This record gives sequence, C-alpha cells and structure tokens, in this order.
Amino acid sequence: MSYCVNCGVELAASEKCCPLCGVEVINPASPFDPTVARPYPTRHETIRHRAIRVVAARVLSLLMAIPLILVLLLDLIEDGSMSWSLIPAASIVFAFFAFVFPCLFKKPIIWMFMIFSTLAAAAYLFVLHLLLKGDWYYLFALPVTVMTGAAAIGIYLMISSKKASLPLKLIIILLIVMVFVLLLQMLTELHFNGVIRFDWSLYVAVSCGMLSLVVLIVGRLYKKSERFRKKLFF
Amino acid sequence: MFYLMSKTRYNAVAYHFYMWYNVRMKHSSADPTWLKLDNAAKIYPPAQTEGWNALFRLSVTFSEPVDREALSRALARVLKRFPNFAMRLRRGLFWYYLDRISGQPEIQDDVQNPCARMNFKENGGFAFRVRVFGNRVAVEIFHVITDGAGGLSFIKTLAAEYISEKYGVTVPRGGDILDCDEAPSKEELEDGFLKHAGPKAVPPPSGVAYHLHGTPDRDFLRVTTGIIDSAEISEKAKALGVTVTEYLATALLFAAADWKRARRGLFQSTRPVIVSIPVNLRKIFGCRTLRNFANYATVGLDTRLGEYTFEEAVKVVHHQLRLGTDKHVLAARIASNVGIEKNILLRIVPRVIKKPIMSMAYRLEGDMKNTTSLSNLGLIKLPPEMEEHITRFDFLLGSLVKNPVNAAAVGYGGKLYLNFTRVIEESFLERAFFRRLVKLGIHVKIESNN
Repeated sequence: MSYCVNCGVELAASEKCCPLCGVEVINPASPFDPTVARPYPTRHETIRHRAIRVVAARVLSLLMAIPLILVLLLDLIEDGSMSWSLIPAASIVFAFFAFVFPCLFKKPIIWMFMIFSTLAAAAYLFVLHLLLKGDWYYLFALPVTVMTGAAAIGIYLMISSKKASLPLKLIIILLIVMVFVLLLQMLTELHFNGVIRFDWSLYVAVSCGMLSLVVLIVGRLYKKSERFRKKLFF
Repeated sequence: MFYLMSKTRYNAVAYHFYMWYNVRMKHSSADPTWLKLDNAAKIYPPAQTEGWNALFRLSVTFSEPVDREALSRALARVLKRFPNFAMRLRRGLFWYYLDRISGQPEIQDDVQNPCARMNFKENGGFAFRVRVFGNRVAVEIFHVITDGAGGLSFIKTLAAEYISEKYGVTVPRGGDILDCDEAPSKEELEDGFLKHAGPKAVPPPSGVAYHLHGTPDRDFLRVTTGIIDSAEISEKAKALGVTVTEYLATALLFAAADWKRARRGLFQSTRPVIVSIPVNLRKIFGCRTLRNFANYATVGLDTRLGEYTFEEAVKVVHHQLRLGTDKHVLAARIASNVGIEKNILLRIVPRVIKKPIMSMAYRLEGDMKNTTSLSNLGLIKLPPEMEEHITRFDFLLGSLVKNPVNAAAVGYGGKLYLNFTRVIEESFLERAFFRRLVKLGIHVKIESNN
C-alpha cells in the first residue's frame, strides 16, 4: 500500500506513478511490481479520421478528367489530329498537379509540393512554348518560374522555421525579396529591351535593404541592452 | 376470437386479420419495430462527428473471470426485454429514427481508451457495445438509446441474467432489475419529455461559463478513478447537512476555481465556474421509461464575490440544487426543449439541412453553460444472490464537445467509485479535487488507465 507524497492519496498497486501529479512511487517496503494486473488492458482503439480534404481531392481529380478527355476527343473527331486541344489539356494537367495533387495526401510536406508546383509550371510553360513556337522560354519563362518557386520556398521555410529568431527570419525574407525583384527586372529588361537596366526594382530593393538593416540593429539592441528592452517590451 | 375463427373455419380473411393484429397492434404497443428519437436524443446523431459521438460507459465487475458464452446468452435474453437497445440508428427524410434489428452485438475485448467513437457498422449496427476484460463487463452506450439510469437498469438486468445463466441461481427481480420473461411494457418505451412537459416553457438560464483548456488529445480518454469509502463521505456530508452529490459538487467547484486562479493570465476571467449535475426525472415525475429522461441542474460559484469557505460554499450548492430540481422548474425546461422539437419550421426542414444547423447549435449551446459535469447514479443496492458475485460497478462519461474533463460517480458495496475522464493531458482538476478531499479528511485510493 503506497501513498503519493505530493497528493496524499493511496495509490492502487498497478500505479507506477501518481496519476494525479506524476510523481514516481518509491516505497522500499513494497516496490512497484509490473506484473500486477492493471485496471485497463493495453490495447488501444484507434479512431479513423477520414480527411474530408482527401476525399474532395479524389472527387475533384475524377471531375477534372472529364473535360480533359472531352477536349481531346472533340479535337480528334473534328479534324482527325490534335491541334488546339493540347493547350486546354496541358492547362488541366497543370491545374491538377499544382492544386489538386497536394490535397491527395493526408500529411502534406509543403516545401515538397512547392517544388512540385514549380516543376509543373515550368513544364506547362514548356508545352506552351513548343505549341506556340515562341523564343521566350529558355531565357525568360524558365528562369522566372524557377526563381519564383525558389523565393516562395525560401520564404515558407523561414516562416515555418522554429530555430531562427524573429529578426533573423525577417532579415532573410527581406533579402530574398530584394534579390528576387532585382533579378526579375534584370531578366525582363534583358529579354524585352536587350540591355540590363534597374529602375523600379531599385526602390523596392533599397527599401528592403534598409528595413533589414533596421531590423538587424533593433534585434541586436533588444538582445544586448536592458534599457532598450525596458522601453520596448510587449 | 379471430384465432378461433381462423382455426375452426379456415377463414383466410380472419387468419390474416389475426396475423395483422398480432404484428401491428402488439408491436406498436410494447414491442415496436421502430421508434422516434426522444426529445433529448434528437441532438446526438446530428452532433456526432468523424471522431466523436456522445457515449457513456457502465461496467460491472464480477468475482470470477467472465464466461463469454454465458454472457452472450444473457445478452440475447436482455435484448428482448429492452427493445430500445435492439435498434439501429437510421436516417429518415426529416429526422433520424431507431429501427429494429435482429441478432445481438458481438462481445468485444476491452480497450485502454474507453468511449472512443463508436463505429456502428463494425458493431453490427447496434448503438451500444459490450466489452469484456478479466472479471469486468463494460457496456458503452450511445446517448440516443438511453441515459445513465436507463443504462444502469440494462447492466443490472444483464448482470442478473448472467448470474442466472452461469451459476443457475434464481435472482429475484424488482425495481430496475427487470424480469426478462415479461414482455416490455408501453410505459418503458415512452418519451417522458413529451408526456411531462409543463404548461409554460421557460428556457434554462443563459450565460457562458468558464471553460477549462489544456493540451488536447481527443483520441485517448484518460480515466482516473478515485475509490472512497461511502460511509465516510456520507458522514462528512451529513455533518454539513447536505447530500453526497452536493458535497462532491462543491469540491469539484473548488477544484475548477483553483484551476481558474492558477491559469489566469493578465486578466482574470469574469465567467463563473459552473458544474452541471444531471437529474434523473423518473422519480420526480413518476415515470418508468427506459429511454432518455434526464435534465440538468447547475450549481456555481461566483469567485468575484470573494473567497468562500467550504462550509459556506456547500450551503450555496445545496440551495442551488434544491431550486434546480424543483418539479415545476424542470417541467418548464422540458416544455422549452419540447417546444423546439415541435417547431413547425424545424420539422419541415429536411434532415440534410437540419444536420449542420443542429450540429452548430450543439457546438454553440451544448456545454457552453457549464465548466464541467458531475453525474452521480447513487448507491446501487442488489439482492444478496447478485451481491455475492459482484464486487464493483463503474460509471464514466465519454468526452463532451467543449468541456474536456468530466466526472461520474456510482456507489456499491460500501465504496464510492468516482471516475474522472479527460481528453486533455493536464490532470489539474482531478489533482485539485482529490487533494481537497484528502485535506477534508477523506481517504482516497487512486487508479488510472494511463
């Protein structure tokens, strides 16, 4: 017969720790015997949680197959070859991989799906490029797509990071935005005008740079100075 | 007469009328093929979710390991006597209803986490399940069938039948231990709410209570059982001039108030700490139904008024409970609930639309008005033929939507078994409660399922 030293209640012989406060029972006169029958068995009943999202995504994927098959068939019946139908078909496939596919998983790993969506977008643009016979893919569309995906993944990883401190997160996000806008204007100018020129992106980049500097200084001060913490506590 | 006519004259018409009379008239009176849900049960089917439905559990522990075959035979007999248990929940166009099914649920092995969401399909369609572990038989019941008192009558009758089957003893029947050779009566299956609703509808007092919050773990119902000597606690309660339920409710209020004090952040919540106590209406209204027939009385302490001593608080609780269990007040509350059910606008709306509305209403209203609940089934008295084979009874509540910790008590064989069930990791309420009892000089023995 053991008692909890904290709660003062008698504990059943099956209890190794006090169920109320968690303190271990140490009784030299009657040590804990693991063979004593417990009041409940050890088999645990699991409850099946069917994610509505997964079911909805399955239904949606089936629904998306209907217009896909329909446009391909229509095009084939009309003139015996595939011409215009490839564009809507590619769009449907892209929409599926970008939006519906991630919802089919019970526990989505978000950064993986972001990579996947980026690849889907790049592939979709490549198909359009082939069909429309443009020259914009390799030097403009592909780099911009990859860049956007990388920036989005970087920002997501920063926001979800548990290790990085708040000022560090803010600084890295601001730097990502800064590099992104500079690269974006560089590519745009290079593709459309043939020369590298920075104007609007400079305003954004300078603001981001200055903001990150402010965050850096305030973060340092907050960490170092007691006086500063006293004024800024929230 | 029709039977004789059918026999003697081989009159096909009379014979058919006799069969029709037997099937229709007799079934509709005492052995119905289907039942409308009673007033209290109507909310539970729409409120259930993928991971939760309103269950409670009663268990009886025998002095010897349970013989499953004898139990299965006993269950078959008991199901004939309790037609509301031999039903499955079905969907009508406007309301859910209970439909008669044959057979009986399979006897299952008990699990560590009681009252987990019941899967009706896996249970043969039945809305209750029977689980065995060692010497113990547990019945987990979905609230659409019956309430705690109805469930207690079921498990007592099941225990009586089992003892008769196993040991060949004749157990005298009476009270809520029913005779399985008798046919079920009409009064046992009536909806007491419809019958006893008062002339004036008064809704229960509104207001949101303080709620306990912790780290949720809804898939694992943690059970903490406190075993108390009944004579000791009833002596303590008597010394203060109150009942055991009132005494326990006061200790629970103090524990919840301790929680509130310990958890306060920048501001103290102004919401009162309230304990809801289910009231068995059968005795008050003289009703014999085996279906839901309970209402709630609430007791509370407004901690803003200052610190109460235990003696002061117990008096407040005593008077609150007396007022709350007044027959006319309860009749007016029932009338208010029945009024909602009878509302023509609600009735003509198809079930598909009604379900989300009722589900939301349950989440907004359900247990918002109380912090926790304490259900006490009272002291169980059995005939000596049963007493020698039964060592213990337990009663526990499944999780509720809003309130993560609840308590249920039942007394048997000189002991009071108080089961706390929670779906959060923190055991603060139980700890504060049992420590308070220990401080009041009551010996408590604790066991748990985790």
